Order: sequence, then structure tokens, then C-alpha cells
Amino acid sequence: MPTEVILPKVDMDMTHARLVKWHVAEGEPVVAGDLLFEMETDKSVMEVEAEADGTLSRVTGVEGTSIGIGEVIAYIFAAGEALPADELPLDVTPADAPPSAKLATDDPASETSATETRAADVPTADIPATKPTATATAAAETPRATPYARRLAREHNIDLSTLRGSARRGRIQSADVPPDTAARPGKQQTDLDLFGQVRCLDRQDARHESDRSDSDRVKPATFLLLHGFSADHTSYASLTHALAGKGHRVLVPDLPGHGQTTAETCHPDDLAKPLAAVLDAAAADELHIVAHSLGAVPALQLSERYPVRSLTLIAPAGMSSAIHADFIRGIASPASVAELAHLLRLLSAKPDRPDILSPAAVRELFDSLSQGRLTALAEALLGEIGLNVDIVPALHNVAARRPVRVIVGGRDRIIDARAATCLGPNIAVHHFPDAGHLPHWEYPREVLSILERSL
Amino acid sequence: MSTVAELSYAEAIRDGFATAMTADERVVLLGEDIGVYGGAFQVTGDLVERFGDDRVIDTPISELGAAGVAIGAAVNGLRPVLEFQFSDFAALAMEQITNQAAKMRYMLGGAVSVPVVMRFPSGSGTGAAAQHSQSLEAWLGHVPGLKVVQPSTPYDAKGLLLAAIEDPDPVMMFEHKLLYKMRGNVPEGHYTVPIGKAEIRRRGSDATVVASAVMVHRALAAAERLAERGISLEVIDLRSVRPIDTDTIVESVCRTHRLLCVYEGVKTLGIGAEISARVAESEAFDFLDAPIARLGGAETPIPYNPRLEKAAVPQIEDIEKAVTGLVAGRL
Repeated sequence: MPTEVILPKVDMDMTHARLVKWHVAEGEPVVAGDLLFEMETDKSVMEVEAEADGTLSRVTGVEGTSIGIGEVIAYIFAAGEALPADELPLDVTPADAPPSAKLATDDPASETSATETRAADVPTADIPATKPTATATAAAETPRATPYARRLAREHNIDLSTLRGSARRGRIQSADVPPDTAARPGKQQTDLDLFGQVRCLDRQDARHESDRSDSDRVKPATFLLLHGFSADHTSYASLTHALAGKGHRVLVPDLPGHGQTTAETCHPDDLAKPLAAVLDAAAADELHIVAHSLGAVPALQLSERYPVRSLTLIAPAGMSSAIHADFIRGIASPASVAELAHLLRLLSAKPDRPDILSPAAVRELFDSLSQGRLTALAEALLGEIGLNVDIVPALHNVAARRPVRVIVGGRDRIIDARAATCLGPNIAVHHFPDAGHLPHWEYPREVLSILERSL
Repeated sequence: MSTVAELSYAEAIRDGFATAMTADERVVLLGEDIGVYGGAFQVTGDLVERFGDDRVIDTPISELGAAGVAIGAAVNGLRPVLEFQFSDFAALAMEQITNQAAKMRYMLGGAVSVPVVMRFPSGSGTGAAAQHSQSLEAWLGHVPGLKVVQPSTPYDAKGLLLAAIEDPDPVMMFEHKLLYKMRGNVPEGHYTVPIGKAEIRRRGSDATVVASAVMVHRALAAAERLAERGISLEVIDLRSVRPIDTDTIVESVCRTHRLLCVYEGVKTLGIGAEISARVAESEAFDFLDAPIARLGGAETPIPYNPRLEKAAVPQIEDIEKAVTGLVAGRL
């Protein structure tokens, strides 16, 4: 039976996509794996490959039009294949089909009798039966994968059929799914909105009320998530996803000197300045700020100036002068990919676990850090005895007026988490004994639940 | 300020009795040979000397009769605790347990409650053969109207016993015979362990084992060995068979992506089957990275031969092997 070419569903909530361009013309031969066409979804342009060998035929998908997901836009005919009778376009259905034709299509034996001629030209009794073969094909083409691997593939827009399974009977497990989308070749960069000089992810998902029970319904708020030294908005990917999934608006800027933001900085006190444009545009009356590590500095400056509902600092820098200075210097100008990989391992509490970033992602980060955008900032951060940044006075100032939480990991190797115990009674401290410098990576559900308590 | 003493599991239960009987004179104990003899497993010990034979009552050898007396006493305002010599003998009292105790409150429209506690020494490993070694907690866990608990430590044994005595409904407490001599810290005086709440005994990230009673300790021992090979096992002590703490299990599986249920009762239609189904029905389904696995008792009466007896229920090595296969994707 000819292989249907359909517009694949690559995202949970997509119903249509735009057919951008055919890469194979009608009548041309294709081999499975050849680039067949490009389609554009809300998020990106995807390349779709041929699933079978044969000739591209009966192309109905028109370039530039929006097409429903799952619609057949062409067929690939293997040598000798013809289109089955019940799917023939009306204009080629033989008008003089004898009554016996219908019976013949129910005969399983006839499926082997396809001839080299087109369906319209052959006696209708030879039209292949469709159903048994279709089922067999579908079963063979559905990759065996665990629910978790399917979930990850869905979230990262990865086609499972491109993966090789390493578990029993070739089953794809989570370890077979590339660990992060950044590591995948040809990935589309997330579109970040431009606020003044700052590139910022602005995400607000449509809320499906039917998904939630009454008790689950919280008033949607706006979260501003500020990343730490040398990171960017992607470090909050899972928290962003989780908060957006609960109906909140999530703003995640790339701080000056970082990521896609082109504005540079050479002093920590300058990190907050360009963010005013983000806050003004957000115009949120229910604004909650979450900041990680060095992000605490701009977070506190903003909290002193804007009517923020709550402030949550994760492993904040500047509670004490203690800092892993080699980490800061090394990250700002890593000598090699290997050195960077060693430094990144310091972030995690579990040295025995797989690295927090894939090798490809580490290389990509190395290329980005090698531009030297952070060297001046690193020098400004480090003084004679340690960190040149002191957040404590600002922290007390803000905590006197609004709820402030500090989340620390007991096995943090970058800052001294014990300093959190000396912050005073106005500040709630959430201590994860087994977490390192990234409690929101290591305990995402728990951190999310702490954030929700501020609502 | 209460102090903590190191007690055996049996002593912890006795301490729980003393605490409850001192505080509440409605608490009475019934059972075969629980008085002067001190109980088949020496749980009641010297309680008859301390509280008298009108509160520590030896019953005739009739489980059905004693269960009826205990249930009737509960309906009439006492807080009776009935000891069975072996959980296998629950079969003799099944009419009273399932048709009377479990249903009376419901059928009388809430006019009465049945605050009775029944204790069942259970499980294999003592060479007591087929009629004295079963793990029947799933039987009683199948009956709405009953609560079923399975403490695995001296602390939980006392805390769950006190919670059971205070509970307005019939509570069945299964005590694994191999645990009676196990020692652990037990606070003096009154405290309770909530019925229906599981406990994470060890945090891990590669797989979750849900176990109860003696299987908790075997899972913890397996976790120790697996840790040497870099496999991080989370161990959940179920503690209550009815109600089951689904939330704790689901939350754990969402983190570890793999589930192994370990239970001593016969595998088919057992506790692990119920837990597996709950996880498959929950949000954790989308987080499973391997098939759910079960280790349960063999489909056989418990053999008398010590080697066969051991082979009929999950051991540390079995758990170690199952988790290794689960994490490696071999299942």
C-alpha cells in the first residue's frame, strides 16, 4: 500500500501548520530519510523526512497554505504500488466497476496482487485490500518507548522514530532522548522579545480551565525569573514550563552580558538598569521576583523600586564574602571545554550523577563564554578576600516590607549556604540538605511548591 | 519532656499497651494465652500483673468467639484489642471481621462505631510451615470498613498501635514475626503514627521500591549494596495497606521514573498489584521510564523446608537483582 505523506503532529496543542516548501517534486524518486518538505508551526520551522522509498505522487499539499495536522498531502508509491480504491480521488474512480469489485477488496489474498499499472488502469478486482496491511504498517512504525521517553520527546519536539532504543527489545528510554534541546543540531532558538536593550522570554500559556480542579485555581500572577552568573533564560526552562502550565505569566530575561541580550556590563550593580524596560512593559500588579545566585543583586534593586509581591532568592550570592573564586574566573574565560566541564560539575551536589549539561551543550557554552563578555564582570565581582557583593543590607530593607524567601542547598560548592542561617527572623529560609548550587534543578517540584506558597 | 528508650518491637507494643491502658480504662486486651503465659510471642508479657486479669483476658481457643466478644465490647463502649496467635487464624474469625466489624457502622447508619483493634503475628521465616506463615494483609485490605496497618519498626509499632486504639473504626494490625526482636528507639509515653501515611525510609533517584513490614528492611539492605554500584534506590515503607498513601508513592515515582513493589504476600492479586495499578492510573504514568515491576510471594503454600521457605518470598538478593534489571532497562 502506498505510504501516506501527512503533516505530523510535533507539538501537544497544534492543530494546523503551514506547508512552507516541498523539497521533492511530484513524480521524483525519494529514499526514506530524504528531506521531503518543511512545515512551520507556532514555534519553529521543521524539516520532515520521507518515511519510505518510492515515487512522490498525488501531491495535494500546496506550498504556503495552512493544513490540518494528520491530513494526507501526498503519497509515496513503491515500485508497483497503486492507490487503493476507497481512497481514490473521485475523478479517477472507474465508473464501470463491476459489482464483484467490492467483494474482491475484502479478500485478503488480493493484497498480494498489486500490479505495476496505476489503479485506474487495472481491472478493479485487482485493487489491493487496505485494512490488514495498514494495521501492520502502523504497528511496525510506532516506536517502542517508555511513557517518560515519550514525554521528553514531546517536550523537546523530537521525533521518536529518529531515536535508537537501548532498553529491552529496542525500547526507547529517557536516556536515549537527547538530554537537552540545546545539544541538538539544527535547533531553533527560542524567540525572545526585545524590551529596550534586553532580550526576554515572555510566556503566558492559554489556560485550560477544564484541566484544573477548583482548589487548584489560583489567581494568575507574573513571575520575573533572573538567572545567575554565566547562565541565561534557558536555566529556568523547567520552572518556566511549570509556572506557565499553572496559568502564570513568566518573564525570563537574559541579563546584560549574557545570552541573547546584546547590552554589556562590567559591574554587578548595572545588571538591573536595563530591566526597567521589562518591568514597565510587564505592567504587572501581581509581580513576584525569583532570582538565582548573582541574580539576587538586580532582584533586590528592582524589589526596592517596584511594588513586588514577593521575592525568592535561590542560592543567592552576597550573603557572605565566601565564594568559589576559581569558579567565577574560570567560567568567565575557560581555557578549554574540559576545564569548563569540570567547573560546571561544581554546580551539582551529586558528582556521581551524569553531568548537568550534555557534551554538546558544554561545547556550545564554551564557544559563547570564549567571547569574553563576562571577564570584566568577573573581575568586578572578586575582591581581595572574596566576593565584592553584599546583599545583606538590601535584603533586610526589602524583607521589612514584603515576604522574602531564601532557598539554599546544603551541599552548595559555589557560595556558603550556611550564611543563610544568619539572615534574621524576617526571612524564610528553605534548606535542601542534599542540593548543590542549583536546588531548582535538583528539586524542581519542591521549589515550585515553595514559590506557590507566596501566591 | 519525654525520653527515648531502646526497645524491641514486641516491647514497643507492650509499652504502647501500658500507655493506653494507664490513660484510658476502656482499653482491654483479649487473646489466647496473653495473660500469665505472656502471649505466643511474649508481646503482652507482664501486663496481666500490672493491669489485672479483668483487663488482660485469656480467651478460650475460639477465634470466632473471641472476635465476636471483642466486637461486641467495642460497640458497647470499650476499646478492646484482640490478639491472634497467628494471622492465619484470621480465617476462623472472618465472619466477625468482614461481615460484622467492617459493616456495622455502615449498616446501622452511623448509629454505632466499632473501635476494635485486632493484632496478627504474620509472615514467614520462622519455620512454622504453611498454616502459620502466611501474609494475609491483602485479604483484609480488600474490605471497605477496615483499616489495615503493617508497622516495620518498634517506633511505628507503638505509634500505629496507639493510633489504632484511638481510631473509631476497626483496625487490623499485621506484625511480622521476624520483627519482634528488632530493636529501635521508642519515645516514652503517648505519641501516634498516622494511619494511611507512608514513610520514605531512604531517598534515592534511580528507582522507587514500595515495601512493607520485613520487606522494608530487605529493600534497605539491597539499597545499601546497590549504592556501592552507583544505583540510588528510594525506599518507601507503605505502613498502611488500607488506606494506601498513593500521593507519596506517585510523587516518588515522578522523581525516580521506576517502580518496584516488594511484598511477602502471594504475588497475584496482592498489594503490589494494587500499587502498580494506582501508579499506572496516576500522573506518574507519564514519568515511567521502565515497566512497573513486582516481587511477591511464590504461588505456593509456604514450605516447611527452610531453603524452600526462603525461596518462596523475596530476599535481599532478589530485590538487588530486580532493581539492577529495572535501572538497566532489561525488564
